[in-house]
Amino acid sequence: MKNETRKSKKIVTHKAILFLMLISSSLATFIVISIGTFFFRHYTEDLSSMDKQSLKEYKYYYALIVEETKTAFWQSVYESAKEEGEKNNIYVEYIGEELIKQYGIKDKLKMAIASNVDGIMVVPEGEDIEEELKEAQDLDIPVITLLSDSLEESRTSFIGVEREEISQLYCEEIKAIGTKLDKVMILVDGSQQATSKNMMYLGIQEVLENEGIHVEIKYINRNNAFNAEEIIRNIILSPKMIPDVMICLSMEDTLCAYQSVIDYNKVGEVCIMGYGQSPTLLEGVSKGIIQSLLFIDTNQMGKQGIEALQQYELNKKKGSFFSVGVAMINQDNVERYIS
Amino acid sequence: MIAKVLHKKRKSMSHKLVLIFLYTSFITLLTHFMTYSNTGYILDQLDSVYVSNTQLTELAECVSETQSNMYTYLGLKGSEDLKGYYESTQNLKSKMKQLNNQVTDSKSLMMEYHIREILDRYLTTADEAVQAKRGRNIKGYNASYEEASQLADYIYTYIESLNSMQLKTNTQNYLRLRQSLERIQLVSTVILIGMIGLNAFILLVIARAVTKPLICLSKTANEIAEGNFEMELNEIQTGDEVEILSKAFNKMIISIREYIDRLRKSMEIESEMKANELKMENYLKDAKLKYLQAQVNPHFLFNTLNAGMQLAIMEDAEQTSTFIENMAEFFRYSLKKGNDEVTIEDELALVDHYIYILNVRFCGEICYKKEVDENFFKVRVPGMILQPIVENVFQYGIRDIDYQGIVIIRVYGKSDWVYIEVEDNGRGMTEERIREVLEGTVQSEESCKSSNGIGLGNVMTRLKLYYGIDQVMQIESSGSNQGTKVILTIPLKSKMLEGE
Repeated sequence: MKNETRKSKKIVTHKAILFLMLISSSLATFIVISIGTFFFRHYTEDLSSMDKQSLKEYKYYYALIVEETKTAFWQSVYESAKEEGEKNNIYVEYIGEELIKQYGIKDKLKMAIASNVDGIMVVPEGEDIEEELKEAQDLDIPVITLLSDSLEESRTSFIGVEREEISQLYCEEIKAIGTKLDKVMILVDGSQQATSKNMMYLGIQEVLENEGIHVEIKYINRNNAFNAEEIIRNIILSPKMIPDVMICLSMEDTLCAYQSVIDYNKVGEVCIMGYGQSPTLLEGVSKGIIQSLLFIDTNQMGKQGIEALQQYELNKKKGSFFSVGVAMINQDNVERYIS
Repeated sequence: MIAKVLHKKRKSMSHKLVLIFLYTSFITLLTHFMTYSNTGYILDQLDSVYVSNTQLTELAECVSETQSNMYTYLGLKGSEDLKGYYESTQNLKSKMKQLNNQVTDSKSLMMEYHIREILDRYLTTADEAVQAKRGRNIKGYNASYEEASQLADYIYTYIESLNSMQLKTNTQNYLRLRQSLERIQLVSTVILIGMIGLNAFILLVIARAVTKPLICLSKTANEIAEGNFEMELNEIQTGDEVEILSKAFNKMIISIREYIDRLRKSMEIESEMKANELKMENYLKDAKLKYLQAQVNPHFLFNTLNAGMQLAIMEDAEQTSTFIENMAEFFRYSLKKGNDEVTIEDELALVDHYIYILNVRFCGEICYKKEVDENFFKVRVPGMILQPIVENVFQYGIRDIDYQGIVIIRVYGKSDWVYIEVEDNGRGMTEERIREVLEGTVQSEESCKSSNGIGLGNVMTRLKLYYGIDQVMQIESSGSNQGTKVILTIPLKSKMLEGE
């Protein structure tokens, strides 16, 4: 009896609590690991399927085919056409751009036809593509020619510029210089003498010579990557060769001439009339180093190409002509283009 | 359910240890499974990164095989070659089906679209060439072969370009995958460290739950070892061997407590019995005394002795008169002050009377000397402490010797003590006898026979009880016929002095 009344200290192991701790920590581990694994897999899946996420399917598929895909002019036309196509559920592809091998217009046309495109925009220069155009015609693939209109029978429509207008614009710019000019030099791409842009020089030459100005044509052979730069540098550095006015018919030549004039301190000695609309060139105009720039509305050309193909899709009518706007950028209006 | 099973059965320590082991194993397994599964998944992903390149290479080989078979057939027109051509075209058609056929904004998928469309055209042209060969249309199969070869060239270019593009994309994806892996490694490490911390904490809690009862038990055991049986008992409810051990331990403590209680009770009873025995003895002695007192009426005895003394005076018998006077004084002291507190002086006076009587009885055989410091005359002591010693001296020391017996009583002080020595030159005592006397093992009856009943043991006990100390008496003897010295040690305290 006495012992029962004594104090005793209770030490109880709460088995249920211990067991719950074990279970809950195991569950916590399991949940953390599961969530971690889930996020990890989700993330890596995102990585592996990254380029498949933003897929959009298109109803029509048009191809743009030019010889030189890298030039700023055609890049600009392509961007414009692509943008316009995007609005109308049309996928526009710059054929050959992603290929590791360089193909001519003929081959690119064959590829486009073999790929069953819904429409083709092509610059028919350099190669005989009549056969391919006929094949396209047989397969009811509309073909729009850009800048050059040599194959009127086979093409669906033509989008180009008025050469007379361009010649006239250059002539007016030269006249605007005011002083007596001894020599005007036109730089022409030697490898593509028959291209539409090169053909413009004939019109310019004709107009200027009618005005009594001597015009010299300088062909630039582009077989070598840095040939153009070398030739332009030589012209500028040689007192005999340096002209009063240098007319460049490509943006690359204009950039090269602009840079050489600055590098060799010939600003004011030679008057550059170029082509293109890059920020560097526009800055050159605003500084007065470049006299003027010929501006062909590439944006309009791209848009018109898409419109022409869609028009054919609707009414199947051939033979249309679309004119693209041209203008001269000089110190008077350069600010508008810069902005 | 597991909890129920665990509750149902008594969980042993081994079960708990197994549970802890299983728990840690489960966590390790889970972590390992995650690492294993994710590594496998990553390997699959890495494999799939380059699987498209492999497929494209196979497609190019297939085109090459078809082209080769067509060329061989067109050249040799063998049935085996034709069979080979058809097999390769079938193979090509099945592979072609895996390619994209939708116009989308993905450059790589559009490449696939081109390959598919040009392949379709190629297969048609190749079939035309084979049919023309069968129809012996030489011009037709030549033109078709040329066209097919050109188309095959386009296909190769597209495949190579797509391969190159995919390799570039795949390399980028591979690098991104690697980066993500590194990031995930870091996150995994952080998570794992966190989990290790949490699990370590839980294991610590469990381990403490297992060891805490054992620590409590060991503490209780230590307390018992130190002699504390009154501590709190540990009521351990862990449901394992420790609980069993604790219950057995508690049972043991309770048993020990009960045993101690029993022992205490029996000792109490024993001491009570001893006390009763002593009382009985005292009563007996008292009865004896009363018997003696009853036999000798003090007044009658004193009156008689006084009459005897006066008679002796009248007859001029001085010695008889002195003897009777001493006897009267001796009896009066014995009867009146037997158990009271007296002074050393009183005690010495009694011894004087006693020795005088003895000397009369035994014809002056005893030479009695006193060397007393009178400063201690008034020190109070229990009555009847010296006379029994002197009686013993006479009875056992000098009674039967054949030479002059000497008794010397000394009283002197040292610091806080007063020493009373009774020395004789009698027979002396053996060491064994001294030990027996001091331990009180000498039969009281033996001492009673020839004394008045108060022996050395009685004196010693009374002194011990009176002063509350053990060292009250010393007996010294150098051996046979060398005499004995009994020394009484009296503490000198102020209250012991008369008049203070």
